[in-house]
Amino acid sequence: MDQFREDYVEDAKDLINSLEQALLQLESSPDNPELIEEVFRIMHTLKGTAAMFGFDVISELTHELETIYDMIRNGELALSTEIVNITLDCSDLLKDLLESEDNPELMLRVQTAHEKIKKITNGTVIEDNKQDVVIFGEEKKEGDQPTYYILFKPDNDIFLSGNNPFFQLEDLTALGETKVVTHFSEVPGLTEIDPELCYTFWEIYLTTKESVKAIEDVFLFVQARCFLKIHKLSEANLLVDSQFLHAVESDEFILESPTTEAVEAHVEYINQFLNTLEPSAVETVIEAPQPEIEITQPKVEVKNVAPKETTKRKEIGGIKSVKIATNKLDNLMNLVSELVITQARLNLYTEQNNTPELLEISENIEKISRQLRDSTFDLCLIPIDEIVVQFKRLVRDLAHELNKEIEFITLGTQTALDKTIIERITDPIMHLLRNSLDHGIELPEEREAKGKNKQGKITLDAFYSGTYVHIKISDDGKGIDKNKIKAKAIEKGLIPRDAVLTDKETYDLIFLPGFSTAKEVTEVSGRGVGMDVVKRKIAEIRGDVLIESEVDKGTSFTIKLPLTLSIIDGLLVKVGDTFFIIPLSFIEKCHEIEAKKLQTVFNNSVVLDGEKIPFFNLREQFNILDEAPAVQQIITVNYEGTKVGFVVDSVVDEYQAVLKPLGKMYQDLDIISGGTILGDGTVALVIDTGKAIEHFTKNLTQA
Amino acid sequence: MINDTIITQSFLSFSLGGEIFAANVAKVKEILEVTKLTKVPKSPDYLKGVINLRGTVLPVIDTRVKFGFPETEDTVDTCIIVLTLVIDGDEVSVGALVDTVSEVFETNSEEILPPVSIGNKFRSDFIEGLIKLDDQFIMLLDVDKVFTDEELLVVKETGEETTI
Repeated sequence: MDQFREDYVEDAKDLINSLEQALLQLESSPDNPELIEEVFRIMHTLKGTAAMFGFDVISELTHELETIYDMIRNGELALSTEIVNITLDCSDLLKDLLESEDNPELMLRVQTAHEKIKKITNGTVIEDNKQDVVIFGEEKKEGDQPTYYILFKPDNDIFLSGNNPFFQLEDLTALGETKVVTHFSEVPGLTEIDPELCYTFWEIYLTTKESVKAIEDVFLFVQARCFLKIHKLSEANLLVDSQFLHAVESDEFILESPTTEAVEAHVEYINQFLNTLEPSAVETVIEAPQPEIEITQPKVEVKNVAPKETTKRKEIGGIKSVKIATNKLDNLMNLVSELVITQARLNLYTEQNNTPELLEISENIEKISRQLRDSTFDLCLIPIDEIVVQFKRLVRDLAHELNKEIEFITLGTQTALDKTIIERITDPIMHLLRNSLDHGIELPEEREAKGKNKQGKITLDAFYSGTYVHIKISDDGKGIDKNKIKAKAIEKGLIPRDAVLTDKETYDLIFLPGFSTAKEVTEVSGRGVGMDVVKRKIAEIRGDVLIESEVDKGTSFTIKLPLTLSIIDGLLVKVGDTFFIIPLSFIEKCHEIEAKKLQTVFNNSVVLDGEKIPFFNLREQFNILDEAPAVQQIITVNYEGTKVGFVVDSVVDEYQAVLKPLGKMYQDLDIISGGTILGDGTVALVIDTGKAIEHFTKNLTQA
Repeated sequence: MINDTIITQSFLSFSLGGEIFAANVAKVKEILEVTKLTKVPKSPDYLKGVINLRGTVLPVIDTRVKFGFPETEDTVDTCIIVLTLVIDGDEVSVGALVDTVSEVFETNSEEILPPVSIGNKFRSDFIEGLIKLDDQFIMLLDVDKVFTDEELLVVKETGEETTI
């Protein structure tokens, strides 16, 4: 929860910043409806999220501000500098509130802010101070907010008449601002208590522009069943006076008993207390006699808080995170790529011109550019968390639509991926989730009949595995029936009737274009365009999908994704005239081997370090026809847990390859994941070892 | 309303196996000399390979193979025309290897004759039209179609793979 609150505070700060920006623009062009809309929208977002994370004070305050802008939006109120000022003050206040919500000083500021906002929404905009005198002199009655003291003691049997005293209290609150003191002094001991009787009574301090009559009307229906006293305490709003509020809560202010005499004495006491308060307001009374307390009080408060604010700003000072426009990141990434390419040229030049000093500089630059590359990568990594929210939403809505009960669990959401991958993986994941929901999870009745929990479970689990990230989407639904798939594929002519397929091959049939096992096409998924698109989209970002399934136990799709798309560490090798790059992350070891030995081996495998290792000669596989050198290199790579050798002519160097796509023309060629430009300007091809091995194996079995 | 405005268009003409073709200049980005080409294994014959075009990888199509002419050695006149094609709504740059590049000429839309489908060895839907220039017919290519036709996009794993 704390993590969420922290995130919210970060977001809220951003929102407040954009709010301020919008407000400042609004000042120069007050008639711009778009800006007003923008302010309203920000307020709305702030309000909503604040309420969600328990920042009630912020939520309340923003709600009131939102009301103002709603009125402006609807043309009920004209935007004035005053309103902008108040909003800006409030945005400062909001920032402080985000730091500590229950600071009493801040609460006072909140109170005054509430007052100011109320004034605006009630139609009396506080004008500049100089004008105060005039306006309050003339329109004194309208601006008045007298304070009343109300004692409300319902009869014991009030509940029996079908009344609830809380309704009266609520109605009073609707009239204006209230301060309610509840008395429990008459509540008897537990043994004597009758739960059907009312023992409590209330003292209410109400400030309202409504007349005494309006207050009395509130009690119209309970008049005969209660003891009620209403006294006017002051022409001014006392509830904005901190001293008064403080006093009301203190012990001396407690009413002794709910009798007429006691109340009169009490009101007298309050009046005396108010007289002692007077001196603080005297100076200003000369200027503007009536509601002076409201005006002066906030000023005093602001003065008190102001210096503190500035010191606080300094403390917050160090910004922990910065939001950067994605195009700037892309730009940086491109520059780093360029740097890495240029670095390769420098290396080449250094080798050709054997100057010790140059070598030193070149090596240094190489080290730095490598570090720069790594940090830039890091910048571009985004946790999956960012996209999980929409998945949750999707599952929730869909489950509802399909009348299925689903528990959606997300694990490892902090796993980070390159932002371009994140962007492009969202749709495929959405589709797989839809698929699980629609075809995987059964209806509750069906599940019960199978002896499963009525509620289906879908899990999204993300985790690192080497230089790959795996995203596993599993459900506990009905699973995939291999025979059904096969039958369907034969029916559609996708495979020959006598085809012998492994489990993996069978499941992979799902990804063939035009394959859809759903008996009826539903709105949600299964329009026959689904899974092949998913597969292609994932392949576009050099990823892969694996399916595991068991009938009635469930299905899981594992999406395997590279950590990053643009630069990889690789080993530069040469076969004939062509340069290839093998990703370093897959390479186990390099061995020298005589070409003769390779020609006489049995079953395409050699013994290296005491292990029998199958190998593929790239020269043969890629149809490179020239003569092989006498000594070749065999590079062992990891392929799904086993070692496989690639025979190449020579190993040139370790190389940072900036991946450049080969383009649409080569989009179906999956054994090459891209090209990279070498120091001398030629293009080297980056081999996708996994895909290459699959491809070579297929050729082998077919031959 | 009768539309009697005559639209003048510019074309780049090039020769290939003795015949003259032309492409709309709007599609032509630049013309390059043949540079060091990296052949890509397991790709169809007409995809000659890739070159480095100022930091990006540019696929090069051997237009001779694509058009069914016999393969020949590159000469000094052999050029790569860099074309901008639209494939599935995306702009894609592709290099097309041609024997010689001749000239840029202008012609009125009126002078473009419809393609003849009978007796033509090229699929008529690849040809936008014919222009008679001097005594020769020039074939206007619909480059988007010629170089992005389905058949061309699919890298077929046939027995005849590129040999490097």
